[in-house]
Amino acid sequence: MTHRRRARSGASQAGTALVVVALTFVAAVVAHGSSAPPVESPHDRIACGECHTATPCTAADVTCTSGRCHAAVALMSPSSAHALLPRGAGFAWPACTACHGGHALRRGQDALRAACEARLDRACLRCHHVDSSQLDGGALGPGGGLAPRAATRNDVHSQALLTNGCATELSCFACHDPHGASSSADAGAPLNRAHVASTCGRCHPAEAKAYSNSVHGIAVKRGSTVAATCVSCHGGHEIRPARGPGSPTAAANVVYTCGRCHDDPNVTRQTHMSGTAVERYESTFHGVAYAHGIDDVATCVSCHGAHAITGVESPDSPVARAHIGATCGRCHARVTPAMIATVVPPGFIDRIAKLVAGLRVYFPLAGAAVNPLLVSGMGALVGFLSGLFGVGGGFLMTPLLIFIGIPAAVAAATDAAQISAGATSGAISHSRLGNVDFKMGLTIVVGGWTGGCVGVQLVRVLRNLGNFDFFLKLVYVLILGFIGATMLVEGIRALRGRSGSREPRPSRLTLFFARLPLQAHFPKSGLRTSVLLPVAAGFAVGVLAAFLGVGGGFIMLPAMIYIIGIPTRVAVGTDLFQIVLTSANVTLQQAITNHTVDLLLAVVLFAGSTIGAQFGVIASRFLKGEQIRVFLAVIVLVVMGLLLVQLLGTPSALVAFAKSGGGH
Amino acid sequence: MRRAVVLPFVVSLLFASICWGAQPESQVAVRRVLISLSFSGNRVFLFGRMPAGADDLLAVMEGPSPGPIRLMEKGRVGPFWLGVHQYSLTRAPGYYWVDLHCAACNGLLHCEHGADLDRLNRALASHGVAVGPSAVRSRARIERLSGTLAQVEAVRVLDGFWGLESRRGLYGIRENAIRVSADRAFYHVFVLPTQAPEGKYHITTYFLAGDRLVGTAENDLFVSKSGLVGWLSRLAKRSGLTYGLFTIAIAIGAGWLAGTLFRRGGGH
Repeated sequence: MTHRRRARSGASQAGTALVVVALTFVAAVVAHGSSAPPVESPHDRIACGECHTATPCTAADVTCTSGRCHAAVALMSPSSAHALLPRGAGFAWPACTACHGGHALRRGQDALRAACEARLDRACLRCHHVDSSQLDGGALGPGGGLAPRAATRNDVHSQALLTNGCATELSCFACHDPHGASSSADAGAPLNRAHVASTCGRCHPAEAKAYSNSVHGIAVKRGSTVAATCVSCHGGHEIRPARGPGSPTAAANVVYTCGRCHDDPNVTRQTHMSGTAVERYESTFHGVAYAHGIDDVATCVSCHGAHAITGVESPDSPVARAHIGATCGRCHARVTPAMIATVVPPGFIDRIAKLVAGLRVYFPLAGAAVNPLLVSGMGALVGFLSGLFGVGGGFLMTPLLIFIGIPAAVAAATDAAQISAGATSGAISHSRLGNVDFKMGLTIVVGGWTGGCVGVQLVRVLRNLGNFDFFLKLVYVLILGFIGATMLVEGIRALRGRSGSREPRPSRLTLFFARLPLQAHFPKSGLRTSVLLPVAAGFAVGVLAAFLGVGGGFIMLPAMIYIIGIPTRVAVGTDLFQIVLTSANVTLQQAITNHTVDLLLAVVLFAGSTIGAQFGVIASRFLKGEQIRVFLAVIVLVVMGLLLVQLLGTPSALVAFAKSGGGH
Repeated sequence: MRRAVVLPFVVSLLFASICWGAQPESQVAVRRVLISLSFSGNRVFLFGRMPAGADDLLAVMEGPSPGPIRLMEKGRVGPFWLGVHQYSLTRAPGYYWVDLHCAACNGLLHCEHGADLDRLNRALASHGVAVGPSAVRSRARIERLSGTLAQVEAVRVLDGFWGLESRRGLYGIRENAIRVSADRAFYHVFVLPTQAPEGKYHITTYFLAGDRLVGTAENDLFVSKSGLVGWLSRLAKRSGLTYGLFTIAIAIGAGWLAGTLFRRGGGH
């Protein structure tokens, strides 16, 4: 029993030994097989001694560029960080085998891919994941260009690499050249600030192109050492999705990311920036909301843009005056000039324009604050017409004044005063040209004043009967239509030369008055007729002018030409002369009776109308008589058309202020 | 500049004194508005404290009544629109604005609620007070220049007159104008347009508790023309002949000057 047990024990020990020996053999074979060059290795036909030159062999002894194989290729740049690393025992990482492998050696891209497929950190991160202080007692220096492994875990490229598979364009090599210069301070390095954009642009071409034309990109091209590059905003190894949480360019962080440079005195001093960008932003509505954690308000990039950012002084900038409305309009439905002014200080021209536009003078009798330049401009326009056509322009000026907010009564009365000024200016110039028949003018004025006084009283009585204003307006339209159409037809005929004479032929009425008593000679007009004719014409026009509430110049002028028979040029000058006297009379009556003449408003109107009248007179020298008549006819017909529209158009309000008293 | 600095300071002091004071009252920041050449309207700041128990308030500012106003009502006769009737209106205020308080919005820029003027008028009616267009209607005297005036027609014309004055900024109602703070202090602004007539303006603030009037506060404000504006206005009204001759002299002088200058300038 004991013998049998011993025999069994001896056989068991022999079997165990045999198994151990067999396993040891297999392990030796396997171990030998793993260290031997694989079949697919580029070195599979190279003898071991070609690389293993020393015994025992260490990685540091393997020198691929010793001159025997890869010397001519000179793969490793002398300025490469790997080449610069100290060599010695224990430093396996700088050797070629650290990246390419030993016996299972792969060619460049394949080596990376293989390492990546095994696990990313077996490639570069095998070394670049520890603090430099752990390497050779800190021989690499502080930082040492090493990326902590934790950083790459959040990196958008690393994540993509792990998620989407191993692609070289997502790997460290996409930005870093393992054989070339690695330090960003090296001018040739892909991550040197001059090349960062093009390095990133290999995968992000649109962003790189936008950046190259941006204020930052241009500054970098010009050699700026402080202008932002891609990594300034997005970071280096820990690049997160642009809008993702924790990203420096996310809404919650972007203001302070921009502020890192734009509030840095070292940067702002060099670039002549204010250095208060964030401070100023925080004082705005957007900034206050942002400071309270509301991150969907406008931040720096909302207005200035990101990659294609331009200087604020650039006309292409989204915050330039021409574009700021559209920029704000991306968020705000209604963008007003006042809103724009709060963010874009007005330029010199805009300041002047704002000053001019905001100019206001309070006119005491009108009780309105109006821009005096606007009033003067209106005066100049009407004065020009006055000097050109010999009319007072009341039919145009009064509606214009009402339009800008002057009460109707003050507009009509003050207009009379400005007509005096404009007509005086025009009459003096026409007198110098020999176009004023003073004798005829005074005769007409006698009739005109009488007719005006009678007309004012008649209007006062008739207006109280009701509907008189409508009747007047209708008569006005008919008279204007008749005068305008007659003058237009006659003037066009004269222009075409069909009438045979450049001045209209004497009317039957003219011929009739020529036979009446009180004959007088008017040499300037070339007429010999009864004084009753100009007095009667003046009277009729005076009554009509009082009825219609206008000066009557545009009625008097046709009457002078067609009824009295005065040559057009002389009629224009003489009409202006009589208008001076007539409108002065109206001004006085209005001042005494209604107290509605605004002297200040009148003076501002004078400033424009007197100058405008001079230019009108100058223009009249370049026009023929028949041309003047045609132009005047057109104006008269336009006024008639406007009145007709008033009569036929539905009024905006059925209750309105009514005129009182008589016309002027 | 000095005014810009001093005015807010004074207003702050007055506002603080009201807030600390025990008696309910209202005050205007400026008691006199001077119309000068640079006048382009004004803002009258009114503030005060609501009396105990009051939960609502409104304020009415009335300006002096101008002389008789001539109005016409247009109607269609055939294809034409013409003034079919004329009216003479007297005793209508030259300025009439009502500021209300909306508890829901309390002065917010965009308010979709607004105070209910009809409810307020019903509450005030028992005290013989009316505000808004109905107050103007009850106060103004209107006569038709020809024929008799029906009540419906008078209301129609007076409502039209309210519309005319509203467009000039002289009449109006703001339903969410008065702000009330947590300590029951209230403040709001009346806007005086450039057309605001000269004279004494009266501001009445009504305090209500539900539909019950629990107190009123009265304030006065004077608007007058000053400097060159005042002198020209007085001259125009008191010495029409002198003013007219002065105007004519300036007009003809300006025309003569322009004609002379252009001759010397070689214009002709």
